[in-house]
Amino acid sequence: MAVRPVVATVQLGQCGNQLGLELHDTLLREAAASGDAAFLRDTQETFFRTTETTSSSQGKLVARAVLVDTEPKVVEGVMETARRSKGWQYDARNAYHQQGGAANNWSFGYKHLGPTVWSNVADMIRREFEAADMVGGVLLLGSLAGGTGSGVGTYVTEMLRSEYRKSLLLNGVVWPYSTGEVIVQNYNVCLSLSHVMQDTDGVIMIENDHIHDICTKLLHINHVTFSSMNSVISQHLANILLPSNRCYATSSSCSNHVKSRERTSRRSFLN
Amino acid sequence: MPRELITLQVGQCGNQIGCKFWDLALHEHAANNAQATFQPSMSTFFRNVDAGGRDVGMPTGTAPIQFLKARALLVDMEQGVLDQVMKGHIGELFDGRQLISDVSGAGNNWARGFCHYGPKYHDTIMEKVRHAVEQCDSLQCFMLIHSLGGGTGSGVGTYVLQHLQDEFPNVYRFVTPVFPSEDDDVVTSPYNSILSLAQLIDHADCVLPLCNDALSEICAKVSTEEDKCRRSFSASAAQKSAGPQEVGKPWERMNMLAAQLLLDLTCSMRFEGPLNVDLNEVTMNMVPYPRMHFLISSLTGSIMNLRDTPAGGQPASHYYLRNMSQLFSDAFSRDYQLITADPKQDLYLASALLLRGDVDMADIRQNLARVQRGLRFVRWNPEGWKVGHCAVPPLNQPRSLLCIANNCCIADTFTELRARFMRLYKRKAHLHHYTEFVEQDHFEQSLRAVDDVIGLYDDARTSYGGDMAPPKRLQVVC
Repeated sequence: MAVRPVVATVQLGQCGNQLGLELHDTLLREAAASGDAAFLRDTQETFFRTTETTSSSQGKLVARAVLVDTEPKVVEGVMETARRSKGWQYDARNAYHQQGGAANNWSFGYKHLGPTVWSNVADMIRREFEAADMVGGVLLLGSLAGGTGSGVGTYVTEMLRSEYRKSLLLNGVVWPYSTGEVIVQNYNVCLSLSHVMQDTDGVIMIENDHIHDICTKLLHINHVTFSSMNSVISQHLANILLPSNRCYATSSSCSNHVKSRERTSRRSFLN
Repeated sequence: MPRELITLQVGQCGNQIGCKFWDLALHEHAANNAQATFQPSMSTFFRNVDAGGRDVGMPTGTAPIQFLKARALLVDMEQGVLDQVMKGHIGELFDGRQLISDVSGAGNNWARGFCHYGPKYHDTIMEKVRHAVEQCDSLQCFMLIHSLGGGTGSGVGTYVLQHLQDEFPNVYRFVTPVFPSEDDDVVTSPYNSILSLAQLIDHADCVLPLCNDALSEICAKVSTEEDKCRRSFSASAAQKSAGPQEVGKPWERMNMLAAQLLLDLTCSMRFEGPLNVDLNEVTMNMVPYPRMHFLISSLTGSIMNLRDTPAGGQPASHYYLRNMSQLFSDAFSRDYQLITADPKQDLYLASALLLRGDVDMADIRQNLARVQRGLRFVRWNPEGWKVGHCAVPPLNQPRSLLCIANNCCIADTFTELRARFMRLYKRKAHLHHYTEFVEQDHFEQSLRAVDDVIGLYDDARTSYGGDMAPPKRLQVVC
């Protein structure tokens, strides 16, 4: 059986964590719905790992994900939701949260909280990669409007690039509503992108306005919630991330996709 | 575990609002806690202690509640109100170490409160504050509740505020001052207000003023609407008798409004939701320049809790529920502002919408786009909105909207207070009571500070209003 490169997901802030939960569920669901056992196995291998079956418990499917936030409620809620309702769960050792929040302040997240977060999160990511036979890359998920996803996310991106020079680094970023979601969102978006562009291999752009329109105009969802929007975004991300061909012996479709775009431009903004 | 918040209720008004706040907070948490365990959300306001007053471990959600103690300090220079509080049904929330009182009162004199009682009780108050802070794992904010018209709330309150800033500079200081109405029965209230306001300008992070006139009008309006609704239903005798109880005294209803403001402001800190908003995000987003931190608030939806919630938790009137469009329209109407102001006619520097309960994202965006067209925002940030959504609704209501705005119309409120101040000051009336404790120059300095802030808001009106062509947004090409 061919070795598959694994993708570790770093979920940052409220948006990143809520989206990451939905994404992992969508990846599994899509792969299971294909009816192709090999495809399902490869998806599971890329984004999940199975814990060992012991005498007291069955092996469980654990997401190769690290959950980061600067306040506790969301990470705890997401982990609990995965554990209770899904056929998979997060590794409890891979959750890191602080108490104070990032106050929607990019500079506070980047300069002040980032180093503390990284000193805890670096080991979690290293552990995920050491558990894998081949490292594919890291997918970071977070919003650009707040303080954690933007500020802390920028710092973590820089550190990941310096630590894993040859691995693929993708940033899935959520743009806020143009009608206003956070008052200082324009600062946070510009500061984040200007830094992240130096280190990332690709920025997957997700606009809340666009996703909202998909929900209302295309899918005719009457009561649009963040949950429905996250489902749409997850579907969109799954289209990029799931293996797209049946030559599973070759590298993941995602890195192929990014490398092909890079031939045309130095940095790749994907949409 | 959520961040903690310590409440300081100073003076008669502060303590009366504070008590209503604790009553409502208990009911709100009880309504969301069927197992009567000490939920993490409760640790923002409460501690779970044993019979000896010691904290009972971390709030995991499974430990039963033994005794609840409020994270609060109650300060008054007269004993009457505090005695009533301790004898009342929420007296168990406080122990003797949380009370600081005297017998003589501050005599409606800011200077006596600030310069005599403040220093006299400085060590006691700060030691009790330190003790309360040590009981917190991650203190985020002090919440000061007081009135500006009297002596204790204004003088002692602002004295304590100054020292909180000195000793705990990294902890946010939110203040809910009650501005005196024009026909306030305290003659020296204009002096007390301006002298306090100067302190709030220098030492508070965020001020959410309340005005008795506005609160009273809202209560009267809600009462009238509810009577109409009740009469329009052909209520049977059984229904009439099963209906919720009316709150008798107008002050209690007004205090309940103030208490509801604080609960709605902190709901996202305590409960889960799709879009959390912490208090540090409020200061970050709502305060564009350091001294312009005066926020006008309006409450819709949860103001239907203006009937005393009986111990049985009987639901309030269901036949007066507002839908989302109505909530949004009301939030920007002058009738629902908690101070006497009409922000719709003036320039918005920033605005926050904190929604609770059963609310759709689509409804929020649609209504936001609708109201935005009728409002004037600063031209350098026409999308100056901060939106939050907490999943847990307010007590007995399906949804509510708290709108907080940094609007230039607050300058008119300050100007009017200043005019009342000058009417007395020009005649040097009652001044000798103050100059017993402070130099007259202190009055001049305070006036300059207030004038400075009025000037900042006036400049904003002239410089930042007007239209600017919206910049092109980055087009993402597939």
